[in-house]
Amino acid sequence: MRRSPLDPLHRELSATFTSFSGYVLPLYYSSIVKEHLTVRDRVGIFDVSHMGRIRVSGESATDFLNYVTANDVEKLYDGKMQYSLILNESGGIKDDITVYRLSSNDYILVVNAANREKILDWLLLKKDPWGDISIIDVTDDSSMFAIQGPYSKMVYEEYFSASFNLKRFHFWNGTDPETGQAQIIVSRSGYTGEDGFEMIMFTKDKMLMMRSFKTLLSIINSYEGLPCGLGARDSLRLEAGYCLYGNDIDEDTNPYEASLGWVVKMYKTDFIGKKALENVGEPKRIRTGLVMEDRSIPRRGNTLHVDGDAVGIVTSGGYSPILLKGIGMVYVDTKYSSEETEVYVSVRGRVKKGVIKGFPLYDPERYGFTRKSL
Amino acid sequence: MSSYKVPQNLLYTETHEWVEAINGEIRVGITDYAQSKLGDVVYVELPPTGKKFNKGEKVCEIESVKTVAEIYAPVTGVITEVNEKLSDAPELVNEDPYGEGWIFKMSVEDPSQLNTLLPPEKYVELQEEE
Repeated sequence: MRRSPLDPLHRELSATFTSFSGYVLPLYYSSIVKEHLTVRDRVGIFDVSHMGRIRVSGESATDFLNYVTANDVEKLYDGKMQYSLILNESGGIKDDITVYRLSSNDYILVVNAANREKILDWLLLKKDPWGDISIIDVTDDSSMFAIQGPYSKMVYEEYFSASFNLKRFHFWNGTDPETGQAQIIVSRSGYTGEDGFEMIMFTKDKMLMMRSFKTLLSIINSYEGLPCGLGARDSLRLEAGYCLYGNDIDEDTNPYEASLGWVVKMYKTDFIGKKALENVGEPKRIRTGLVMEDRSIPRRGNTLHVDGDAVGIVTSGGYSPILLKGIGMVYVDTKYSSEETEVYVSVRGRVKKGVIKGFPLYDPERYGFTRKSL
Repeated sequence: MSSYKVPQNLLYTETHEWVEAINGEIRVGITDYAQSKLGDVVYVELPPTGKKFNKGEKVCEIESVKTVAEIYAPVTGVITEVNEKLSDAPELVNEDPYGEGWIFKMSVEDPSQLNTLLPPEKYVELQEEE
């Protein structure tokens, strides 16, 4: 089992641990529900160092990445990042990633922890025709933190002594102000639905990583924020509608049924998976949201029924501390995928009523980066 | 080692229920250790009063953000009262597992079954083994 470079700090903070993607990581520090609500109402910090970080550089890095990812890398410019997919030849999803453009011949890919080796091997396998391309796994020489919630702005401004004028999905790279040494990449992005920033810190020195995390945490504490674990990370992303690789998407899922068709740029000349996707046709099932009306929490693998027919399946389930209801991410027959469709969920042999809802499951005028006011 | 509360005046089960014997009845809840392992409790399904359960039989379910736990009858008996407060405030199970977070009361058909329950020191040992 791998551990985060910040593991000693998590122990100091008396985290309760869980295993995830080959790592032992904090599940929560205080309580999943409390941490979840703190991110929606205040601000929280997550150690996401387990995410894989791969540096791709070389003369034809742009063309290479445009071939191995489904989104349009040519739309990026220095300091811009994008959500993307790496597809297999059959159009199935190998991973969902973010691509950061440092320069036209230098990129960072952030991949899922569980897929890190798989993607690294895949990129190495596909790089030959593209000339001199360097692909380096820099995960172990860096750490990554996510600061999320409406008060992220204040935390950012205090930590960097600068105003938070980054646009969403933009980043800058420079030196960490706390340590004055480590190189960092700071982006306005996240996996919670809230405004916030993510910081990748390049150093082999764990003490420096912990020092910066601690300083961020003390600023966060001053705004009544909390350190948050994977439990809240999961319930936050579920409310927001973001996929968890391995649960909601995998090598057998195509982007259209995963409601990720917007990522795929079929106008590109060629990319891995394009040919297969030209022939997939309209999806028969689609990924969407579920909100329970009965008091019950849907769990992964529960089936959905309408008039006695099986019409779908829950791929992620949980509890929404905002709605105070059970919620899920589901794949449902497109005939039954419109909002407000009543479905019955088979939860441990009992039938519980729910309704299909689009994401996010919270009111976007009150929560998330789209909120109207603090 | 253990930082979980294990009150001296209670009896315990291997499935982490606590049992308080009062006037020929028992009051049942889940232990501090159990609530901590479960995490935030969001639903408590209360059993119907008047229903009989055999020792070891599933009485009801407690659902937390992370998982579902089944609560078993510590002895054979009939449910005499349930903690209705838990319907609207399931978090009481986390906040006060031995007090406001009690789950149900039941009659005791055969008092000798109480002897099969674990005394506090045995329950502490059980926690340490897990």
